[in-house]
Amino acid sequence: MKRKEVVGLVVSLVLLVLLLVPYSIPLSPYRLLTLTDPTSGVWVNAVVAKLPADKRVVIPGLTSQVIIVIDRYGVPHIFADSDKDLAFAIGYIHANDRLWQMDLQRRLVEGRLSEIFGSIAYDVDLFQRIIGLHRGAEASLQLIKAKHPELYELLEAYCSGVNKAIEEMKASKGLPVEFKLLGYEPEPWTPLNVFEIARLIAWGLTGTFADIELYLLYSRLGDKVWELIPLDRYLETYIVKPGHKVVLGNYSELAGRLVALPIHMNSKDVMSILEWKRSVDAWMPPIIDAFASNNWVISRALTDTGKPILCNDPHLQLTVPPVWYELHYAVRSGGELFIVRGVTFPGIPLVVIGSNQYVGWGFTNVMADQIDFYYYEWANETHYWYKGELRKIDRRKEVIRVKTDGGYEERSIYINFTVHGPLIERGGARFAMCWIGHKGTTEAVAIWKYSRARNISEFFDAMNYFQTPPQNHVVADIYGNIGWRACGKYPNRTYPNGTNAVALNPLLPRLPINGSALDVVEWNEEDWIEPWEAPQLLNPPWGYVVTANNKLASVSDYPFIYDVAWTFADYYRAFRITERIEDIIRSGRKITMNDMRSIQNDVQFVLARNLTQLLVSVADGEIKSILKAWSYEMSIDSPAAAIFITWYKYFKMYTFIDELEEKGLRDYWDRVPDSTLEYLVLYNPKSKWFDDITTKGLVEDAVDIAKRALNAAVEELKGIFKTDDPHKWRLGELHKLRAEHQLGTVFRGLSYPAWEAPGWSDCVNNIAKGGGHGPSWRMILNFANLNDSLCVIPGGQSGNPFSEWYYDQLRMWLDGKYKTMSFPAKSEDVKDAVCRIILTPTG
Amino acid sequence: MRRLGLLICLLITLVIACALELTRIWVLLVIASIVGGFLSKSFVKAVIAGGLGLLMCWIIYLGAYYVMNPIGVGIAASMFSLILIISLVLVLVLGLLGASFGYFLSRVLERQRGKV
Repeated sequence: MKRKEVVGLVVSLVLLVLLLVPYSIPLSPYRLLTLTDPTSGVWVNAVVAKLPADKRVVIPGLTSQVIIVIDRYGVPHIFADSDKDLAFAIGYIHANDRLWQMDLQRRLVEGRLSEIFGSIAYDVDLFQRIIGLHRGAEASLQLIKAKHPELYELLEAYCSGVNKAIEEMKASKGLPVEFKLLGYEPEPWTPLNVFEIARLIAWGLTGTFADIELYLLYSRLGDKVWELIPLDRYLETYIVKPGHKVVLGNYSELAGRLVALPIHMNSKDVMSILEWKRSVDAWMPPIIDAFASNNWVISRALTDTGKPILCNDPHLQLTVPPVWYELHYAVRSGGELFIVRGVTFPGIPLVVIGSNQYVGWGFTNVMADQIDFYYYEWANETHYWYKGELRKIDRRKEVIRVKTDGGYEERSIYINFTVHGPLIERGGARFAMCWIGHKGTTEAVAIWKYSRARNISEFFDAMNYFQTPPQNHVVADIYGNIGWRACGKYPNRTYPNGTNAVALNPLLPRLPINGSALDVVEWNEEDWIEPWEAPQLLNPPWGYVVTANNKLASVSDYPFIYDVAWTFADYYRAFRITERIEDIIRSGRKITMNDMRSIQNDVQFVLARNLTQLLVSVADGEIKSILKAWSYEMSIDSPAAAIFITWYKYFKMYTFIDELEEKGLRDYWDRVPDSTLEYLVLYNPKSKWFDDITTKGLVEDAVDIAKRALNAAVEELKGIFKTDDPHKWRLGELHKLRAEHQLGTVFRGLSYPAWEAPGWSDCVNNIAKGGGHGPSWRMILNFANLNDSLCVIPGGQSGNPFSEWYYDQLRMWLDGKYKTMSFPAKSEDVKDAVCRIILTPTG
Repeated sequence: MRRLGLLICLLITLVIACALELTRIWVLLVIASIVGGFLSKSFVKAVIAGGLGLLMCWIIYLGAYYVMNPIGVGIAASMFSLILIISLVLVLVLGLLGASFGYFLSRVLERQRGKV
């Protein structure tokens, strides 16, 4: 045997082994080959992205045949003979289009992201384990299982559908591309996971740390904070009484009513809790600090059709794939046919916003206060005072598995609980969190019943089950009724003797509560402000209801307003929608579907309308003429819009940053409500807030700061556009979509294109500053003929990046266009069908 | 043992590789290149047959996918173009090494049989 042949054999073998051994290094040869192998890698996803014209699947356990027709936008139309079969089909279709999105959200709630992302996600997992969305999900699961077994059965059927799809995808190596990129496979879907997704949404819409933030501001600014964030905003548009109402802030009365605040808590530690929350929020699709939505409903007396029109555009994070998944179904339920269309959250088998053939509904966030924080007098690390007694914290161990190069590392953590909830701790700052989402709640029952309501009255009955996250439900039926309820279950905060504490001190829900006080204020478990006690309207005499996260009512109209919420949005969107509706009414003509489209895409910026006069007064030359000719529209080609937003940023910063920086709150200038600054400009332009405390011997007013801000803005714009000619400055260049996939930083192609976007924060078309959140679904329901309704989502139905439905609706959405939202009763009536999937029972 | 020319070895590697791909276990592809190398007349012919055989196998599959869904495969190819190129190079290397191993294995076995 020649030596060189043996050497050749050994060398080839060694190199082969090096190539074929699976390392855990992300881009090792083994991983790359696994990723790109034609029959098991990402290419399989490219092939399955195109659905066959006909597909048949045999499903054991199905009671009868289910037909799923997919239309040209990838929207499934499901036709089933029972609720259970329908639930199965929804699960099957959800998983086929959005499985990784579902899995990621489930992991987020369970605090298990580190298992796939490694230690980079450890802090997120730690936070999630502490706040315990999964504990709340478990409580709701048990409640529904015990009290609503018929719904629980449907959830089981839904999970079977998801798991059937997972099984098929595993067998065909067709799992979503993200699983392949990250190198893991999904576990089966369970009913608990359904509630976990629901809890994630609830947390996104109620899990605010605004109490702690306000405490931080108060601890450093003292009573001045009430000037910036007053008990009632200076400028308001209420839901129950349309019209722009100016209310003077009454901050000076409040100082004496404050509860005692903790004196031993280091505000730097408090700040680090807020920073922790913010860093976790960045991982929180679908809702990252995205507190905005619009809905309105017009009565039949005001429309050209003689029937109501209902509009809704919930503003959420612009995720990839989108937050919502649209579907339509026709099902025989209890012997009756129900035809339902709307949007679902992938992972939950219920149409959350939409309509059936009788009743339609839409949501905006109430901005409810369903969370309180408690601080204590501590005897030592483990014991605190509660109602005059020493209590020991309840300490529970959990394990977080963190992916490492060699496998997994197990890290033990300890979560501490007081009587009020889990302790969130950083340094010396310790707050117990009391959140309604830790309790079992029944909104799943409500949403299920909405799709089975036959009229507005049945819908109002169903709303009694809706507890969290509180939503402004606007509703209409084909008989011509309209209504609204700020639906949710709100805590009644009482002293030990049962007296309502908020009536005595309206600031109480806004700040952390002393949990060691002898007269500690707590949620009265026996006496809530129930959904049916929430503010509501049925066929209001003025003929419409508009909600845009604005204040529900004045305290004179609804006595529990301070119990219910305090972080309402500024009035701008509600005001503008109301103004446009009122304009049409005043003109004497009837409101049309086209009016609704136009309002939903309205980009006039009310704040700009009210502040441009100040800006014009300090501008000159071309900039002055551009601004004077401006219609306050935030359109992509507008130079004035580009000038205004850049100027406003500096104007707000220069107004507040000096005082805030002096108190170590430099980054908080943008947290002051815009309505506060607007009020100061319009009603108090010599306010001391405009004085720059760093300029000794000078006292500036609004005009001085406006001038300084304009100089800074002009310099910035010249730098960005590389030209001094203001006619060439455009909003679109400064305002682009930022709809990013969770893996988009590594694989850029997975994110949506960064197209120029019209609108701005607080426009009705609220594609917000930064381009990362906006209308996550636009819907206009025409109750004269529901088949003429309209809708669009910002992206596409499919989560498969190689699918033609990945972002086929994005351009339409951006351009203010819609697709028809029809309600066919039979599969043959689905227009533009491209695929037909038939699920057949065994035998 | 009868040794085969380049074209026939390439064809054998390609056919076996395409068949093994159907198992959806890409690691098995190495068998195709080992067989191709094992049957080759020379080392150079072996590595060409092995490398090209596996590379062509993947290209044929991807081509078929392109015919089935040109838009989807086009998007995938542009999104993962760099990874695609690296992977094609890697599968080529896999073929070369497998064939090299097969070739030397056949030589060693042949000599051992000669000794016996």
